[in-house]
Amino acid sequence: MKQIMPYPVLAGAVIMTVREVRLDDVALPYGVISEQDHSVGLHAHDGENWSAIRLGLQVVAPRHELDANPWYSVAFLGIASERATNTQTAVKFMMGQPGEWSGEIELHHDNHRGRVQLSGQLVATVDDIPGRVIATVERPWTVDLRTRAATREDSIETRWTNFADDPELAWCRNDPWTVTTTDHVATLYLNSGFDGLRAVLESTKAVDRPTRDVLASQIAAGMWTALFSEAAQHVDGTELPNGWRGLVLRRMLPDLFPHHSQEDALREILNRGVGGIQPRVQHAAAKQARLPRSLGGLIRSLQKAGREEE
Amino acid sequence: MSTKLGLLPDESAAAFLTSGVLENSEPLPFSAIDRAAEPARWDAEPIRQLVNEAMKRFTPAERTSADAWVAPVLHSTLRLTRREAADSRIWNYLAVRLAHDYVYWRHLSRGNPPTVSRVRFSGPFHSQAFARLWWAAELFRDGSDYLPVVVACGNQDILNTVLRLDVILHRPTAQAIVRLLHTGIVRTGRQVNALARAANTAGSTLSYEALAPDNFRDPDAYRDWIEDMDNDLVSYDSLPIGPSDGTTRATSVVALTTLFRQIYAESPGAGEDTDIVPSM
Repeated sequence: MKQIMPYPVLAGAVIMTVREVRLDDVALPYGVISEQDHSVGLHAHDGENWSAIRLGLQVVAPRHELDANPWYSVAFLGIASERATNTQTAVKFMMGQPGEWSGEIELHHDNHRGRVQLSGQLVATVDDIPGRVIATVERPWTVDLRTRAATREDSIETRWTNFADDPELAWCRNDPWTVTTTDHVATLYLNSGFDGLRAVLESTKAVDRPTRDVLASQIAAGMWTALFSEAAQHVDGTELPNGWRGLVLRRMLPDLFPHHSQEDALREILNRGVGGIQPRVQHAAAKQARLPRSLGGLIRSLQKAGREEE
Repeated sequence: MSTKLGLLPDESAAAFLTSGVLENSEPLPFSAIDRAAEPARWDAEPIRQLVNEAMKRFTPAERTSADAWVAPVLHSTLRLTRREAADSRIWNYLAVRLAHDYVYWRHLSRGNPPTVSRVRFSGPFHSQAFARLWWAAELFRDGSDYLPVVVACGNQDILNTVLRLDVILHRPTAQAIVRLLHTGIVRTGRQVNALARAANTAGSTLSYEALAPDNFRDPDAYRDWIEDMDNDLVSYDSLPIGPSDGTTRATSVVALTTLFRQIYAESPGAGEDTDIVPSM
């Protein structure tokens, strides 16, 4: 949500894109950049054996709005920050076309260890006051430096099992799926004893595709609803809970309360309880569930989700 | 005890910090702690020595004054990268295993029974007994100069309030706040808090990074300083010398000092001479 400021600010969005990632001057494959999650994942690369990562970034702001308003000396500052290591780096970007800036931010190994946020501010002179922030990047990026092994904990997993054979799951032996949680992991169990479930979900035939997609997204929506309710029980302030619970809330809160900051959204949960926001939970769960189009996609997205977690 | 430091996970530290331990009426189970800790590469002896020295130099009544002496000496004795210092396990080990006596000495409250808050042993960087001083030194030093650290740690409100604010991650902002404290523009805890609040609020509409750009911090120079550890004897009687990884841009500090002075003068809470502490 935009704050109200005592001077004119930009109404349109400032969009940041990661163009290139270089690890010790070697360009990494484009696959490390996820447009959808606004993240850069370095999981596959050796966690200790590097000294600097250089990110090539591009920023676009609505040009017509910049032209029409009383801002002077408009400049863009890219900012990389990690709270855990108390490190923040600001870099002034170069203007290319009007409304476009590009720049490079370097992250040094010794100054970072986990998740680094990439964001930035559009700054201008307004009413003779220099250095006014007239916009911030709408959707910041995250650079995740942790190695894969370290991030497997605290994740969401998917497992096939025959519920009838599992003493823990026998109580729901006729259900197609269920969710179990511990502090460290949330597991989506799919019932291989449920007639036809596996055949449909793992089918690669075009004819099965509509059924498969509907089924996968129903399971996913049910799963996200269950996980949200469980995670929300662990909210006790304005900070995200640890582990997978924080991950679930971070993914779903923007859809539950699109106009709230994360802190305010957490406050809403505390004030209204999960019961009071049930329609919103269903909406956000359905939205999460639409993202992957098949079970393979669902599983992949969960694995990715697990890796995002701190 | 090993001659090296260890890394003690948060969960293990939490298990050892029983209420009896926090009240200093029960001993810490050292052999169990040693089993729970992983070995680390830093020597334990220099840290133990500096803690002994602190408790010798300052009487229990002067314990808050010890912070300004300990912070620079700790920083230059325990040479960590920020990446390493962000790992809570090393701080847990110092407080729970190597120097628990210092934590009691420095942080035992006057309540009945007297107790130490759990976060002084294992907690966020701005609360934990050793992490707060190390990070204060790291965030308030000006390149190799620890003098601003001594000024900052001489005021408990800098440690208790300002240290946790995002704005001080910008070095010229941190240096400007210290300068106002050093020149006596702000003196009391209440004034420091008013200044910090005003600077933090103004920071949501003004970009200090744009108004006061900083110099580059040289990671290689910092690395060299870490590797020189074995050749340097850290002085107790004069200020140690920190890493020469680049000073804060002086013109930026001046610009922000002027700006903060103005913002502070216009803020509520400015100009009061004494701390009025309401009775609790």
